[in-house]
Amino acid sequence: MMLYKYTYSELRAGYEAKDFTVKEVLASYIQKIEENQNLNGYITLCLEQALQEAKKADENFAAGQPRKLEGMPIAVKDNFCMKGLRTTAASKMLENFIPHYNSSVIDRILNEGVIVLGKANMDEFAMGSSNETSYFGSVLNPWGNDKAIAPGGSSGGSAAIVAAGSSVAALGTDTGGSVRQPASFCGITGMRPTYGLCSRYGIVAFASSLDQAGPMTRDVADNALLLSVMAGHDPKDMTTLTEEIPDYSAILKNPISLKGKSFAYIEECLSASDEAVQRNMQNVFALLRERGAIVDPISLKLQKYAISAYVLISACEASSNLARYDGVRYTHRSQNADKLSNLYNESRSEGFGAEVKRRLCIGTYALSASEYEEFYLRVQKLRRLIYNDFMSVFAKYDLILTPTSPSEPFVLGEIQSPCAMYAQDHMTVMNALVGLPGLSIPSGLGAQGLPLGLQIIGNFLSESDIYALAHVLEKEIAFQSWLKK
Amino acid sequence: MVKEVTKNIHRIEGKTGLWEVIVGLEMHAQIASQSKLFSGASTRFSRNPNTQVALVDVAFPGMLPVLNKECIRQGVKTGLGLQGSIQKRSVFERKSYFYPDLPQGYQISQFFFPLVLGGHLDVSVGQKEVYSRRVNLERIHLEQDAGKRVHDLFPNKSALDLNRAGIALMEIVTKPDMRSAEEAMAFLRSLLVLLRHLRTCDANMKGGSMRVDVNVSVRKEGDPLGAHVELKNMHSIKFIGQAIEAESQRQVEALENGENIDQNACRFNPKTGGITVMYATEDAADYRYFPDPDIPPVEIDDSFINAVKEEMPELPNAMVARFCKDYALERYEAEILSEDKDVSRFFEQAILVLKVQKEGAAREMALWIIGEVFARMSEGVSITDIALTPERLAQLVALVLNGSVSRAIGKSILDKIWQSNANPEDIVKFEGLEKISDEENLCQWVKEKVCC
Amino acid sequence: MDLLNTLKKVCRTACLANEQGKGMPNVQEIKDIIDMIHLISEVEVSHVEPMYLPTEELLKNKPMRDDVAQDDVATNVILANSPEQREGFFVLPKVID
Repeated sequence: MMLYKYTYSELRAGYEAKDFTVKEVLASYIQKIEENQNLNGYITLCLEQALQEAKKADENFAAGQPRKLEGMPIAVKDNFCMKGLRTTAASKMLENFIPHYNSSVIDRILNEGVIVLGKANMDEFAMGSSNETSYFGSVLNPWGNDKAIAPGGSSGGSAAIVAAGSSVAALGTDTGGSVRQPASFCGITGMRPTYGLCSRYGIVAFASSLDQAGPMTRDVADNALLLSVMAGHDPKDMTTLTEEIPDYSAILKNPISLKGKSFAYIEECLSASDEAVQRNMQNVFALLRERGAIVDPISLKLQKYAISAYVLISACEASSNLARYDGVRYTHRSQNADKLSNLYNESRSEGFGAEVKRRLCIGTYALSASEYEEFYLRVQKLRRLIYNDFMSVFAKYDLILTPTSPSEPFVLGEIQSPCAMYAQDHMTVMNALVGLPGLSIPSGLGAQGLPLGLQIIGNFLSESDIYALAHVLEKEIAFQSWLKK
Repeated sequence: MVKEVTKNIHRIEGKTGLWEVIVGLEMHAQIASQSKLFSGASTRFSRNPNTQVALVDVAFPGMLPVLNKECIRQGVKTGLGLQGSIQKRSVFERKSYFYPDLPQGYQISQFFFPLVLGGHLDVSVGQKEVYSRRVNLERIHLEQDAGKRVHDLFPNKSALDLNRAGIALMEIVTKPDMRSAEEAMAFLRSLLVLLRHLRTCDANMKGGSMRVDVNVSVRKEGDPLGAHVELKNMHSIKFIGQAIEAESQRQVEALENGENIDQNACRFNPKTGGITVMYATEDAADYRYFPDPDIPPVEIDDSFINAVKEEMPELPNAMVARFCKDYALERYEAEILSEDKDVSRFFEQAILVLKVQKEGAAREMALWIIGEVFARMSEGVSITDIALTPERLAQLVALVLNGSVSRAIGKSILDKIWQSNANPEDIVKFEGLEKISDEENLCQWVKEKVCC
Repeated sequence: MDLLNTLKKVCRTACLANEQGKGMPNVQEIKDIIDMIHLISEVEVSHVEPMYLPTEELLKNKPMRDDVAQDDVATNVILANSPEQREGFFVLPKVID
């Protein structure tokens, strides 16, 4: 039995039918993690603890009292703080940092019985689109086989782990596409929920007004289930919403009819994509139309400014959020720091990698008094214009469809210039800027035989609608995951 | 009311003529609250370092600020007490700079959209010729306090304690409306009294619960405002007065010698009376303010403000006016009695139970408190902590007012009941004091019993 | 202004490079990024209100925290990850003014 190939719904059915135990499933994962070591997906493992949890999970099943996510092996991106477990954000700065607290999302999923296998590799402080900025080295996309293909980023470790069978699910964070783009690159499903749906408490901050936690799974049902548990108001995060969270997975039990549904696709996104991606999207549109849905092109003129706006806002907020890593209280302190005047410079220049430094420079520069109006104030105004554009689209259409990434996954090391790397987030930053949810599901393979992703963007709190459509499309597309290939 | 008198305005006589002193103040007052502005850590003072600290205060990764409603309420209350305009929407911003006592690398403060705009406080100035000065306020905003560094504990090392980090401060900023050290000192005294009445700050400058930055400049009358010097982080009204005197004198001399005044932040040394430059404020650090994305704008509505209004106590200035009018007190007496809310309450309670309806009765009571009760209270003791009750004092004052005993006898009775709060009427009966009515006998008795 | 000097100043403000300039990003790369973010100046925004928090409408009237002191953490937890500590304090090099 290759239990690591199952989705959680399949595992759950097996647990309940007593076909296998949580312990057996865990053993299968531990073996697979061993085999997949070369992918460099995990920074830190906690398998001893996982085995103990598995025992408890089996007891709960035996007692007929399993929790919602009982016995779900999960990998956690290394920017979620976990009590007693090293949390590095893939930075030398936090190489030895062991928090004494759980992030609120971690608390929520632990309470429902997940079993954490370890902390997943990522771009340093979630800044990157290829996982190459990690202090702990690049992650390999399992689809690459003998080629070193990027898993995407910044949640590259999480995506590669789920795709390669090193965990059934993973937590990621998405600031400008960091859940969706790696999900697309690795052929899995990744959700960025509405801003404020999941608590940011205990997640190492990158850009506070953009950061959101999101589930990464092998299918839509697992994703919906996991988000149902992750989401919800948190008194420790003033930006979390207080809305009741529906049971997203219950909604999937009755597949929706697409008849009369109206979808828009953004012309600017399509034309910016390569040919295989465009063809893939056209196939999806044809399928939707066949089922009675309306699929119209729309134009979002501000799309071309989205990357600039995103890089600017995220850099500004990051320059402030990362000021706390100073060598004083818990971070890396340079050996050369012999007086206070060089404690900061030496510790920060050693502790941060090149990409982080670039962004901190940009943010510090853009927030300076002389540049403030030209950059920070202006971009926040632009943000409102983008918001207005989205709202007028949602006045007419149910959901928006775009490719998740403009191209197939690229070869590691292929993209050298920072700006070219930022352009990878072309499709995913626009809705992130205004807090709207977006889901990426696998939609086919590109010319090199590597996965492509379809992104579904919805209005605020439209996660149910997004999942409902994704569920239907998932069946139609019948994507062959890397594990089942 | 005392009229605004302009002829009293203080001038410095220089070689080239008369100079006017311009003073503006920025007060950082610790807000009275149980927990910190953005964390649930305690605000109590602790001798042990890093014991009143929540994870948020250390700025651990992923920690988020959660706004304490009480601090907003206290800010609103202070704003109302100072006749300011409460802003229904205010915004917390990040003020960025690196310093070890600032764990986040930024201070959460209010910049573009403060909680309170405008306001004023009328201050009476002077001992003999009293005049009133209206000091207008720029704004009141809320912000976090910093931690503390200790330099003399370990050799070649600094020690950092975060107990104070994150405690709520309100920064009260005046316009440059004061014209002398005396006016600035009078303003600070009045402000402390007001904050004590509002109970929004314990207003203990020695204990560090209010720190003051003093902006001083001088000009020839009619000239525009000149460059000012900022005297930072002062803890004593007396030293603030000395510092303003010294600095304004220095500026006059400098200007008259043809020198420029550099816009500097300085430190006043009370031991030497000297002023040393800390840094130039003109090329000060770029603080890169921007709205804190972790804290949605603060929205308060009329019902919130009205609820605070309903809790507003009588303000000290109103109380002084009422005491003067209702009890026929001198202004000076009324001010002393209203300085401390517990004292004014004691006074009015005693008046209430005083059974004598006689002209000057209330003032007699006031003088007993100011002259006799205060003289018997040791330093730092509150009137609520003494044994004597307002009822007993009222009985004693009634005996004096009725002519049953003289004032001098009354004082000796007060000595007798001070510790025990015994009934003064019993003392009179027991010791047969009421029989002494003959003036000469009385004088003799007093000489023997009291004066010696 | 000369971008290299600006970058040096920014690195000082953000404490990113050491005294020898080690750790300073590549000027050309920074220039490219600044040019890219500068693109937004093409958009006419003069009469637009800034939007710092797009979900603000959804957050209206959210309660603040009650004033309860309950989150003090043990000193050893506060100091557990510190590079240097002594007698309950974080310890750091002395300021040399």
